[in-house]
This record gives sequence, C-alpha cells and structure tokens, in this order.
Amino acid sequence: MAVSVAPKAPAATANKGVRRSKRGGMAIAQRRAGLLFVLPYIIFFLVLQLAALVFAFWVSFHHYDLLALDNPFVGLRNYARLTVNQDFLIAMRNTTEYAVVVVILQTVFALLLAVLLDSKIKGRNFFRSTWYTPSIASSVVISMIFLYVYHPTGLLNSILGLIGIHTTEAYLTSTTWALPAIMFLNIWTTAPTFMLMFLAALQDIPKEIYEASSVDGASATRRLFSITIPLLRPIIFLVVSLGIIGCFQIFDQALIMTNGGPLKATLTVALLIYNNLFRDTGAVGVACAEAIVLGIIIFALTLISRRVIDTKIEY
Amino acid sequence: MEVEFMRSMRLGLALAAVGSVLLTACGGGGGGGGGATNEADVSGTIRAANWGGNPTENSLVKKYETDFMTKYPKIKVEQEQIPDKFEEKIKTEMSAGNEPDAMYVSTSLMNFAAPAGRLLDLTPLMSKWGVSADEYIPSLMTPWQLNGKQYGLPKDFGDLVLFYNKSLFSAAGLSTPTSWEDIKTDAKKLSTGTVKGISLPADAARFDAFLFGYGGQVLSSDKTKAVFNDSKAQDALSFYTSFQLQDKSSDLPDKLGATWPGDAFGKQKAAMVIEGGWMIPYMKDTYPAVSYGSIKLPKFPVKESSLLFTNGWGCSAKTKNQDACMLFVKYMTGKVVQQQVLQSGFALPSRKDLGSDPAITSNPDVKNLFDSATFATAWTFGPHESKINDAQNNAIQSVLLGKSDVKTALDKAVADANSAISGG
Repeated sequence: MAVSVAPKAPAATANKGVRRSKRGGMAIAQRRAGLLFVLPYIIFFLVLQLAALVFAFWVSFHHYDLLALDNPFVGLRNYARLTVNQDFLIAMRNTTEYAVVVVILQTVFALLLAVLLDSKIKGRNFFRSTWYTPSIASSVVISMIFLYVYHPTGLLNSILGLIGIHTTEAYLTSTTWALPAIMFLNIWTTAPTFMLMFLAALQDIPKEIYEASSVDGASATRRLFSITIPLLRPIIFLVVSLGIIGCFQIFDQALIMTNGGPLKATLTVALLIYNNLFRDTGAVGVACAEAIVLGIIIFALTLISRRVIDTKIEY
Repeated sequence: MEVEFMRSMRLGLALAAVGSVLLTACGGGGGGGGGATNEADVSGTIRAANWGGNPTENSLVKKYETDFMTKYPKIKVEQEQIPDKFEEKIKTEMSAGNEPDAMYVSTSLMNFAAPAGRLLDLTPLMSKWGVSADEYIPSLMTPWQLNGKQYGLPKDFGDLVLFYNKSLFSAAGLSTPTSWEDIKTDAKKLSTGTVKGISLPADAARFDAFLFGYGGQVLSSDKTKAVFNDSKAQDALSFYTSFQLQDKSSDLPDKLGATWPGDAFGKQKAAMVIEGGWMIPYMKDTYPAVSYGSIKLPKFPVKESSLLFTNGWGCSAKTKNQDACMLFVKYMTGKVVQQQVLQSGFALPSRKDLGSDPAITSNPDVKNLFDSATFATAWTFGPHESKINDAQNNAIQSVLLGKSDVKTALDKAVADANSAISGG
C-alpha cells in the first residue's frame, strides 16, 4: 500500500537573494566555530581510529611479533593461512551461526515488544523501564550473572525443576548448549535497546494512515504487515545492520563465560583475534589479517542488508 | 555492548600503534649508579610491576618494597600494580618500549620475552652482587634459563599434592590412601549421591602430573614437536579419565556445583582433589570447618611426579638502573622476604635455606608440598605453550565428554599442537 503525503512547502524563500552577502560572512564564522567543535572528535578519530586501522592493515602484511625487534614483510601469507587455519574456520562458522540466529530473533523480538508497548496497554511506562533494564548493565556484569543462571544448580535449572523438569545440565560446558546459551543472553540484553528504536519510529507513523486503513476495513494483522513493517523499513535496516555489526564482534560474553570452550564450541572470531594478539605474541600479523577480514565481512553484509531492506519509502 | 568493546579494542591497538611509533622511552629516571661497587652507593629510581589481583598479596609486595627502600635509601621503588591481564599489559608495554624496570616474570612471559631479547641477563649482575644460583631450589632455576643465561630468579612456587577430606574418609571407614590403587577404590566407595570421590578437571595443569608419572612427555627432548600421544600418554589419559568414565567416581567441578576443584572440595562435593599450596589459605578463609589432610602424589607406574608452578622477578633489558634492579630482585627473592611470604601462607619459598623453617616442618601439608618439589617438573612448554595447552585441554575434555576415545583425541591434539609449533 503506497501512501502519499504532500511534502511541506519550504518556508519563505523570497528574501534569500537580498540577504546573501551578510549571511555569507556569518556562514564563514559559523563554519569556523563548527569546525572547532568537531575538531576534538576529528583528532580522536584520526589518531586513535584511522591511524590504528591503517597500522593494523600494514601489520597484516608482516610477520609481527609484539616483542621482536625485527618484523619482516610476508606479503599475503597471513591471509593465505586463514583459509587453512582450522581455528579461524571454526570461529567463522560459530560467529556466523551466532549472528544469523541472534540478528533474526532479536529483531523480531524487539519489534514485537515495541508493537506491544505502542498499543495503549496499562502500565506502559513500567514495562518500558523494566524491559530496558538488561540493556543498561555492562555486558561483563550480565555475563557474570548468567554464569550463575546457567550453573548446574543455578537459576535456570531451579526454574525448570519447578515445572517438573529435573536436570543438572551444565550448559556452559556442553558443546550443544554453550553457544545457544550465549545467544539467548545476548538477545535478552540487546533486544530492548532496539525495542526503543522501533518504539520511537512507531510513534512517528502518522495516525491518519491507520485511521484510513480502519475505514477501509483492514484487520490488525493486515495493518502490521501492510503499514507498520513497510514504514519501519529504515529503522529495520538500522536494527539489522547494528545487529550484524554487534554480533560479528561478539567477544566479552564468550571470553568471560566459556573462554571459547568447550572444545571451541564458542570460539568467536573476535576472541580468536584477541588470543592471537595477546596470548600467542608472535601472531599479531595473523590477528590483524583476521581483523581486516572480519571488518570486510561486516562492511559487505551491511551493504547487502541496505540493498535488501532500506528501499525508499514514498509517503 | 560489542560496539563498545570494539571501540576499546581499536583504542588499545591505537595506543600500541602510537606508542611504538613514538618509542617513548621512560625506563627509570636519572641516577644510574652503573659504576657503584658498594650496595649502599647504588642509586636510582626503578618502576616495579607486580600482578596485583589479590589485595592481600598487593599490600604485602608494597610492604616489602618499603622495607627495601629503608635498606637502600638511595634507591626509589615505584610500585605498579597490574590487577588483571598482567602479561598482556607487560607485552604491550614492551612493544611500546615503556615497560617497567623490574617485574614479575612468569614462566610464560619468560618464554616470549627472553628469546626476543627483552629481558636482562642477570648472570653477570648475580656474580657482581653476590647472588648464587645454589641458594635456590635447582628445579626452580631452570625455567628462567636460556642458552646458559639466567633471566629471572624464582620468588616462590606451588606444586601439586593430593588433598583428602578427613571426615568423609573416616565416615566411610577408610584410612589415608598410600597408592593409586587405594585412591581408585576409595574414590568409588566415597561416591554416593551428589558426592564424588574425587574431582579431576579437564586441565593439562593437573593431567600432566599423570603424563610425566607414566613416563610420557609433552614435547620431544629438543622441544620441536609435541609427543603426548604415545602409548605412555594414552595409558596416562586412560587412567585419568577412568575415574569419571568407568568408575563414576569423579566429575568435573562445575557438574558438582563448583567453580574449580578446590571449591568442590570445600563444599564437600568431592572427597579428594589434586591441588597446590593455595588450598591452605583458601580452606582457612572460605571453608574453615572442613577437616582435611594431604599426601604427596603416590608413585605412578614409572616414577614419582608432580607439577611445579613458579613465578619470578626479572628486569627489563632496557633498564637504565641495572644494579638497582638487580639489588631489588635479590631482595625480593631473598631470605627476608621469602620468610614473610611463607608465613603469610601464600606460596612456598624458592630458597633451600628455608626448607628447615618451622613454618614448613611444623605443618605436614606444607611439608608435603615443599618436599614434592624434589620430583616435580616445571610446567612450562616454550613460546607455543598456550596452544599446546589448549590442545591438551581439548583432548582431555573430548574424552571426558564422551566425544572421542583416548587415542583419537591425543592424536588430534598432537597434530594441532604441532601445527602451532611449526607456525600454522
């Protein structure tokens, strides 16, 4: 259903030509002030991000040992090795599996929560704050808490016990459950942030459209799929691409909760990079090559998701 | 949250990058004292980094350093506590060229830093300032030796013995075990309901005591390949895992509702564990009501065996105050400090002259630990040890989880370890 809303006419343009010269002088002063304001960030970006990125790129073509005095150029060898490096392939598979499940579930979950909160249910503010709570806490703190939740005699098994399922499954040392356990934890903590984004976008959708569709006799489900979701496209793109970026960088939970185990079941690319960088000091070049590959993958996926999701909306 | 992390990781990389470009040399200020031949004439400022994850240990180190400055008023020590990720921090500092003058040198830091020329050869300084290698327990000196040079001195050590729960043993009508046959049958008798006779973790830092005791080795004698898949290693792993798999008399700590074997022991969910001296203060502080004893690990089929974990003090190769740093290392690994370490119950002294100290002879558990050093092997495997240990841990874990048989698991682990050693 294509909806058309006439764009607002631009405000008075008549005097534009007359004031130009005076405005031009002001514009330069304003531009200077503007530059001054963004300067700290630009310096920060150039020194701490762009320089680091360029340096990492340079290192990825060298056999680079943190402690060695001589680090020879090796061309593409670090990259070539990734294709046969078992750990990298395992990490890539784990991370992809993780990202696919988490991005889909957290987006759907966040959208459902937002739609629920957007309807005029009682205690809306209460739900909004409580659902958002997990997103405030640091991921390290949440991971520590979930160590107890997933403990064989922890909260999860106690709750399962109450409903008659008695188990002492140690989720984080099971090759079957460790990765899903971390997936669940992350969906639970990040979905509420995206819920807020959806909620803001939902409240921007003009009420007239819904009213018009009600007059036409559209059902609630029809309205969700024909109005809400299409109009939320830009925000769905944002949520999916932020989700992809976040998921491919999954690190802290995997480090704290399982340290990549059991049997590499939760070894992620970022964790592997960290291990190569700090634990195996001679592998900085490999770590940088892995980081560059990961960066390219994230960049490509974001572009693809933009193609697929973020098509122009016509009001 | 991941975004936040990535930002901080980029920041870290950038700091490392900027650091290595600028090469900010701030290794100790002024003084020098290179020409001094008398201890009292040595002067200068040294930065000394210790792993400070434990507040008690931290304040003890601080006290020793204050005592040192009282003894050597011309030398100033600046304590740098690194609460966590000690080695990561030191490595980054070394790569940026601003590491402290003196620092804890773990065996793994030694494995990276000495071949790279980042640690100071202490040999000439030891003879200059009257430190003899004979003062220390010999097996504790070898981890810091490379090509006949000494790159660190041991400050303390820990090794493995068998701890057993006295009340659980007497309740089951059992006497103190003296052999592995005893331990195996006792473990079966002690396993009832939620309690297991023993808790053997999927950890090479425990299993390797068995491996060496069965005559196996982790690395070939020239250290160029992993060899822990021969028939001796298979027998050792079969025995180690038979407690859990065949006898059902052992379980992993987290299956027993504990974070590590010592925790399972304290909670009385495991009647025996193989642990080190850290158990003594831990049990006193956390589970004071549990009555326990210890025995040296009984002789394995081939020989007596235990694992040594040791930590030392060393100096940066770039320090401008070599003499001050050496005197500091001498003091921190000397008798005065180690006697206090011993009394605090943190670790065992690395010095021979403290072997007859009442703190050791009067406590049978401490004595077992100290005496085990004579047959224990230092647990250190060179620059690739993190991957070698990963491979070993994965092998033990896959057998314990029933994913693989002993031979397949060890063959795969050795292949993984060898590909790491050859730079794969």
